[in-house]
Amino acid sequence: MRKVCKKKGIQLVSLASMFLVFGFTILIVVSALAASGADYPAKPVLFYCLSTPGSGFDTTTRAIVNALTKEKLVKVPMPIENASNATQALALSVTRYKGDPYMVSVQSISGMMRYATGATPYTHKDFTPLAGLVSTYYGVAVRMDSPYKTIGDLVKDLKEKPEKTPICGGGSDDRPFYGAMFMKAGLDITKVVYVAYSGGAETSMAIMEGSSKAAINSVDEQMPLIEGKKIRLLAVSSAKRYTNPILKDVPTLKESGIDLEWANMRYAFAGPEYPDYAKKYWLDIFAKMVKTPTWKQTLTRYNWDDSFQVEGLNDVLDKKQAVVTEVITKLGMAKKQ
Amino acid sequence: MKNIFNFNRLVAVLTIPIATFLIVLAYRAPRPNVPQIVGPHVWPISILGLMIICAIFLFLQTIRKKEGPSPCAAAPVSDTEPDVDLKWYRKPEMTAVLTIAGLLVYAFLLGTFGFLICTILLVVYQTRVIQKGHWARNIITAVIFSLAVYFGMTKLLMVNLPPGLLGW
Amino acid sequence: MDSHIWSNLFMGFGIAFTLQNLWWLFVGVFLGTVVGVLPGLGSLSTMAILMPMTFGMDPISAVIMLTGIHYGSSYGGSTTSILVNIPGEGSSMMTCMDGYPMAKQGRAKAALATSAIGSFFAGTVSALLLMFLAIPISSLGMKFGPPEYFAVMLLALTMVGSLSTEAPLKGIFMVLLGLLLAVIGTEKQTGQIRFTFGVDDLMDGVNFIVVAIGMFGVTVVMDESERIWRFGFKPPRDQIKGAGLWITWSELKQSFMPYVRGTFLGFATGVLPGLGGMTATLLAYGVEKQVSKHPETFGKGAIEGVASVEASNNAANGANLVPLMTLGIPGNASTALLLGAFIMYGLKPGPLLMETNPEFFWAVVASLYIGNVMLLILNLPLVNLFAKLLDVPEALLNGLVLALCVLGVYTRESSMVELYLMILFGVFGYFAQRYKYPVAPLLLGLVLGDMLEQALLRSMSVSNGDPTIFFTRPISLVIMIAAGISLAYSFMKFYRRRPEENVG
Repeated sequence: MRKVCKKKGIQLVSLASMFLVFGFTILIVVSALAASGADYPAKPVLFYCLSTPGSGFDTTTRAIVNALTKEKLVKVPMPIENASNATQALALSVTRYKGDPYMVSVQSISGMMRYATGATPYTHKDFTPLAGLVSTYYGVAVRMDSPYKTIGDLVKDLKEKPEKTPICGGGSDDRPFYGAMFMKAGLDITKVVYVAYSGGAETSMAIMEGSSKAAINSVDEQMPLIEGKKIRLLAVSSAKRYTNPILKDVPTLKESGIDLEWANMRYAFAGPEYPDYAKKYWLDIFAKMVKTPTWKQTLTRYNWDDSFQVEGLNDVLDKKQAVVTEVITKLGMAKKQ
Repeated sequence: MKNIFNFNRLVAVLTIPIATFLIVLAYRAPRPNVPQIVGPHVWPISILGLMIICAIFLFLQTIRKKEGPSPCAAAPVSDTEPDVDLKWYRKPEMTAVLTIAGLLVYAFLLGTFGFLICTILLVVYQTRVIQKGHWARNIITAVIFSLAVYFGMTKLLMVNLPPGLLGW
Repeated sequence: MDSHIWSNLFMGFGIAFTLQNLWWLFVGVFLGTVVGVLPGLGSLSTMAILMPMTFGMDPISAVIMLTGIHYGSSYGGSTTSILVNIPGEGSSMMTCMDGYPMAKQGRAKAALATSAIGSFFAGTVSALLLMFLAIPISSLGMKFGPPEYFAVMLLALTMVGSLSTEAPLKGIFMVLLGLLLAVIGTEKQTGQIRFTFGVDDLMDGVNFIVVAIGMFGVTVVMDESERIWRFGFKPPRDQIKGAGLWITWSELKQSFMPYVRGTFLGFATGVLPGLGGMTATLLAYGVEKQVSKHPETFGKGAIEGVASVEASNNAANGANLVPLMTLGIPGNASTALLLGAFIMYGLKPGPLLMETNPEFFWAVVASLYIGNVMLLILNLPLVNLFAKLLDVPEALLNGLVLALCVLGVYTRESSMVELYLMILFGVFGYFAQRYKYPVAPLLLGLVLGDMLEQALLRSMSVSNGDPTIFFTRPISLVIMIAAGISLAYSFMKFYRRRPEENVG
């Protein structure tokens, strides 16, 4: 309106110093992120992670980018973008990234859950699944001094006094599994008291602290405390026992008399109408990646199972979606028609 | 103080029906048949109930004191300011309205025109809302700022911003 | 045991003091603090964005650099809160409460300096505590079940009294509104979707940052524009008496006890996984106000407010490393990201870390000391630089602040709906401001709401619906009593001070 204070000198100095800081930042980042062009990936490929940093998807996404960077398989930068709102992000990956060759993402059972409960209208059929990459298995954990020796002991208590035997799991994504498991064990799953937490660390804490009697979560997320002998596993959901020396004595569910195998496969996908050249490129890259020492090392460190799969991936996903929907319907959580 | 008195009552009068509506909504929402001892409707309904009680108190209370300065007031609005004789578009409140209008237009155009163009315009516009002139200074600052932010974000930190028309 | 610690620490310093590791540590803290300055980019996003830089690096360097980013970003996080009232993350909201008023009084430098020094103090002390206490207190978290978490958050919620002393009823109303906003989204126990009204973007709830930037940043721009229109521009900054002064000795003395209390509270809160920096800063602020001899200056530029909040925030950040390192349990998303990275680089965080990779643990501890010194040296000159930003002509500054608000919201999730939400909450904040409804309690309710409800539902599930669970467990009982005392105290204080003016 009226007059402004004019202090050009100070402004210039401050502006100049801001740019100095800024320039220094550029220097450092550029020194770390060296980029060069190639044929198809002519610009950075976005790894769109449908979950918060630190989550299972995020860890997988970062492990892939790490392996691709370290083994120099992909020459362009691969920025990772996290979307904490998974439902919205799933919709975006179908709509915004339709036909976009520069987006790759990772998905697993979480998306199927969202479809089954009606949170999202999209399934794997609405985008382009590329390749199955890793599988994780569930482990039923109890604390070290728990009276339960086998999964049968737990099932017995759940049958006799379900209200005294709360079990916990890592959020609603783990519901299909516990539902399927206890259905197979002959329990009325609507009687089981299930306390939802977010993630394996929290469920481990809940059983160590004693408020929950057993925890159902990914084996890999529970590993730190299994190795530290604070919690132990009653059973794992894989088809074969783990070869890891710490886990080799843990029986599978089948061995414990529950006829169920359950793998959570994390697979890479891209938007719908993905160009063929890009699809070919990534299938080729992933096929190379899974053979690299970095990737093999990553699998061991995270206790993931290699489940590289391109052919028949759609069938696997179809079947899993059917199972998930069935259990969710049984639990009364399914989309209301 | 009449003004404040009215506003509190307005808040109370608006809160009660809205909260009641939300209580009904929360209660009638379909619930999963998993054994949940405290269902997902209990917490929101309790909060809404407390809000209604709070609103009743807000309505009933009478103002017997001069308001102290608000704890988070950045710039206390003086109620004694004699701006009643100003035309409506000269009132100070118009600057706030124009700010919001500018933001709405910004959000509306962001997807089409892109971050760079929109942000330059926003900075220049917002400066113009309260100050005439200084076009060269404003435009140069806006352009430098937007360019620095845009390229810093998209090229260095690899954070996506809408490219819009320019397609960078 | 003690001599053991020293020799180990010596080994850690030996590893951290190689040229390569020092360089990457410097890069980490530098980038952390610079990127952390940007609104909306808190510790988590900063780490997530910068983490790919460490891919392919030597594991120890990578881990040192990542932890450097982790605590470096919390140094930078307070800058925009103090200068332009835009909080970058939950824990820096409380910095706005006194930091921004200080900046308005021309004491931006003092605020920035006390925040840097407080961060340094808390960072160093928490590194010391991590070193000596990591093992003994790691089992403390094991005593905390859902009822205890509920009690702690209830205690934090009673601190709302200290945020709205003038109008308790309005404060309560706003906190309830915040709790209600927190209900929006997917309920985690049953997966029921509540109050989203079909908007996908709300499925994960209303994000705190969006509301905070709207109600603090956008509202301030509107207010300032109006004020300038009414009263004209402020006199040039150097004409304000005492403006532009560096932090004075007496201010530093005033800040010292808040540093100590803030650090203690922050560390105690941060050791418990999942409580979050917001709870820590809130408790620190509330306690500081209650022990203060002049509580009425809080919210109007009390340096103690900034000092204790910044100290507690950084202490909580350091303390988060305790459960992470000793149990492999991440306390929040930032440490979850660190955990994933640690494992990727071949570390085994957890009870075995000290046996399998002692060199990692001690190198990180050593790097905490070095990194905090680097950050102090780096941040004190930056104080001058950042404070000069306020010399930008007011009208132009308003435009730039608005652009920063937009940037902070949009970079988070690239969501248009959130941009509109920010505008909506800007308008809301404007009216709240005008009619003297305190906005901080709303944000507080929004942050704590979800955690509070989840803790309640979990407690009820494990106790089979028996509410006495909160009073039969000793730790829970103690905290509940503390919450009761805190509540009674703030009521008493209010009624005693203004026997007849207790309405808002």
